[in-house]
Amino acid sequence: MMTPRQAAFRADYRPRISPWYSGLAHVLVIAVLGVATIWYCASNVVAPRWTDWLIVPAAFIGCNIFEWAIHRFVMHRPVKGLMGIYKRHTLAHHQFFTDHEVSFDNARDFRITFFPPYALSLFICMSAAGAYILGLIWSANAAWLLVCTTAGIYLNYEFFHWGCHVKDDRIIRHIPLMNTIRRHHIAHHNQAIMMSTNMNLTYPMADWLFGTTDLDRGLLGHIFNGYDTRFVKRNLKQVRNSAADSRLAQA
Amino acid sequence: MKLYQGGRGLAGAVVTVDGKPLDPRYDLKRLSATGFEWTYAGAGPAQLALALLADHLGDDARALSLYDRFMRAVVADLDNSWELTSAEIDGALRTIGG
Ligand SMILES: [Zn+2]
Ligand SMILES: [Zn+2]
Repeated sequence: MMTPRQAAFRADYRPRISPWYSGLAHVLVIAVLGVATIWYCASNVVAPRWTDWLIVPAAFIGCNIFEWAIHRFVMHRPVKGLMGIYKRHTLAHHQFFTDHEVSFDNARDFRITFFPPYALSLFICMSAAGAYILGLIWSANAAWLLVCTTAGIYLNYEFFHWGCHVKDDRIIRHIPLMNTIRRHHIAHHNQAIMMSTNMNLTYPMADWLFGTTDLDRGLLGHIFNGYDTRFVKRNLKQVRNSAADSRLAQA
Repeated sequence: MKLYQGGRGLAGAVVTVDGKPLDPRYDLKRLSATGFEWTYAGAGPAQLALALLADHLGDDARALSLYDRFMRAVVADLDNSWELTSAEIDGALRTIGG
């Protein structure tokens, strides 16, 4: 059930979405750009040595920490020069979706669910810059594999985030890893803890590493936790002085 | 009795006192380049703590000496959308020894 504040935010936000906006086109642009990047980079990998493949797990871990850091220090903090990201996330996404009502209603709500397509373009450019240096100091194959991995993780991120906000979880609740991040991210949408807890959106490894998780268990337990709530910390942050519009109506 | 209110939304992280925008008091100290925030300890919450105390106490020197403790005790735990009365600020100041 939504609080009056969340309902008011949704009612205010939805008419602001352009009538030309298409949720399906939004998803298609991201998917086509991501898959095309992976296909192009993969087609340039020629007879890689086993050492070239080491970039894949290294990039996987690096991206996990990057995803955590951007979420924790940019998306939830007003930083000069990067305010647009904070506004879109803390001031919009987290007002539209809360742990009281975490689901989108239809594809037009994708506007506030997925990143704009230029975010993927930016990440590909950042990854390509790193790949250029990697090509100079390591190998061309490792460079192409780096961009493949980062683009793949980006698509993974968007797909898992969609899986967190889709209403029907009859299938997702049984898919390992995806069920873990769904519970993890819905807990993050609790406005009492959103500024500092559960910042991963793919696999909660960096949250475990840096102690910003709502769970009290080991790394493998974090990754395969699923919907299990037995390990949720009892001493999670509580908030005070809630305004009337932020409180659920008493039954 | 004054009523301070804050909430996050498309207009920003907005704070009012009796319905009017709260002065961030950059003239006293510029702690945040990006205005107010809350629910954590940091620059935006520190600016909010200073602004709240300066308005409530009407004593800039006391506000400057107490804002950091007040930020950690109160502002860092404020909800996404919150309300604070003058009486509640007085109660919090007694608790932190201000
Ligand atoms: Zn979300
Ligand atoms: Zn968030």
